[in-house]
Amino acid sequence: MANHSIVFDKVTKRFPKADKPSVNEVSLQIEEGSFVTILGASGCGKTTLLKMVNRIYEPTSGRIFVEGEDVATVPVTQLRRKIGYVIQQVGLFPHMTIEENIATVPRILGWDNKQIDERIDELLELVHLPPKDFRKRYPRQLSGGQQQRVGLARAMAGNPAIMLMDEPFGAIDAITRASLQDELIQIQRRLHKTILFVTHDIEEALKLGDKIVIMNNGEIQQYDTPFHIITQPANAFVSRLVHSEDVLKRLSVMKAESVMTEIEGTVHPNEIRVSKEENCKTILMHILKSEHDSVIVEDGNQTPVGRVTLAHLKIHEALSQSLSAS
Amino acid sequence: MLDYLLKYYDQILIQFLQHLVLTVSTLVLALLFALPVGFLLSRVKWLSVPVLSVLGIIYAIPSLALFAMLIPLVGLGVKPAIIALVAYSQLILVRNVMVGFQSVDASIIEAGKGMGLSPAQLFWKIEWPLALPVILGGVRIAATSTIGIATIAAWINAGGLGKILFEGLYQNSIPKIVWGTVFVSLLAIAANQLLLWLEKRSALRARGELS
Ligand SMILES: Nc1ncnc2c1ncn2[C@@H]1O[C@H](COP(=O)(O)OP(=O)(O)OP(=O)(O)O)[C@@H](O)[C@H]1O
Ligand SMILES: [Mg+2]
Repeated sequence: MANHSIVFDKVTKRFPKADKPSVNEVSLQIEEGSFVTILGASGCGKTTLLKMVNRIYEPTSGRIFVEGEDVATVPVTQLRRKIGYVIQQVGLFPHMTIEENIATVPRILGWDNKQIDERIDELLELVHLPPKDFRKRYPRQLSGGQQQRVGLARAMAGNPAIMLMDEPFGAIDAITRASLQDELIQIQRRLHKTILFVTHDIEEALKLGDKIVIMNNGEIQQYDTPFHIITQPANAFVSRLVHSEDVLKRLSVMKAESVMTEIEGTVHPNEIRVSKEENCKTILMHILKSEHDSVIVEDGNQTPVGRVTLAHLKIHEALSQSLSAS
Repeated sequence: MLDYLLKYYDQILIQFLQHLVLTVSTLVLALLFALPVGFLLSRVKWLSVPVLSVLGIIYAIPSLALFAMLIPLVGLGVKPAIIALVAYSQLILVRNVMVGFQSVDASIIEAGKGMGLSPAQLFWKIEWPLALPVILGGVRIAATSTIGIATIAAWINAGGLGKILFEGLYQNSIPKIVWGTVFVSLLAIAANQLLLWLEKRSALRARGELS
């Protein structure tokens, strides 16, 4: 259990008077530092599953471990202070300024003023809100996207290792949502938080998740990487869910790393370069626009490590399609 | 008219202060009861219908009848007056306290809980400041109605501006009736304005508009 940040052990939640459980015998292990998205249709139990981690709901049966400790044995306020929690409605405190909102948990944890002050600046910069402009504002003076940025900053204030996020970008327009997603990915890469992220948007789940939990009727259908979910759906439900997705979406979950081959021949000076993490949809766009039918993949030090050609993309796309059809 | 005021200003002042004391002590005692009860009703929904019904029935008892009913139990004077006034104000106060706490956005509470605020921290930092405008609105209405009903308390020797009004009625004295009415109205208007100002201020604060 050492490097499992959150473990669900046969967790069931049946609300009083409900005829069937909202979450049914779910067992799941979330690795430390991984970004896991929970995907499923409305009412399938995503929120219920999430809220049992910070004990907003108590399981009917089964156990949940956070960092090795059974959550039922940890005092609830103490548990929640080490888990960041972000919801769709944001829930900023309207009578407090942005800085006061963010300072809430550090204050409770007894940090000194100077430390809190620096933390506020650091977090606002992390979510791309210039502290000078935003610290003294009130929530109503912010746009929806800015409010959610503050919600994110506030949830991270106490430096929790785990973040629970329930459709945090659900009420935000597509363009802002895309940039918030990118920022969240960057934040996670930098800070290595364990993130459990609920969404009902397939594209969002594929884009953000290192792994995806697919739920239906309170049960887990598949828990795997985006690539495997698409190429090897575990059952008809998953297959139907992802099959409605088109070629471009499938390409968008494949990383350059996974399809590149060794560089043969010379590297042209004006051949486009991409990072190892770049997705194949973007690579396809690059190829379509460039004079070469390939791109060079480079590592963090800008050293070329491989090449992706149009032919590779075609092979992999055909492969994934045939795999998911079988 | 003015002669009467100049001659008896000390008496009127005393009655005015008695009236004020009666009103303020009524409100303080009433809130000691209404705040916890209203908060409880905001949490335990099924309790609100029976409790508010009982308070509604009390509210509907004519004030003279209620004062009369209390005389055999606690005698004459300030005591029965305050008991009756506290009972009357409960409907408005309890209802507003309940609505005040219910009106706090559930997502704000959930966010607070999720951050690990203890119930006490949640109450004082979040729920109380956000519910305050509605609660103060109730206090304002209860204050003006208490000031009105308290005039009748003079009938059971509780003092206050009701005394000069009753005397005026019995003695057919226009100056007494007029000055009594003027001072009761002044008190009511002043209380209303003061509490309205507090209410607006707290509402601005709750919305984050107070700079
Ligand atoms: N507090 C509650 N009391 C009773 N039933 C509930 C409660 N919360 C959720 N449920 C039920 O549990 C089931 C799962 O709800 P949940 O909120 O977890 O769904 P979800 O997957 O988050 O859906 P959505 O995408 O719409 O948010 C639903 O059938 C819902 O009606
Ligand atoms: Mg939900």
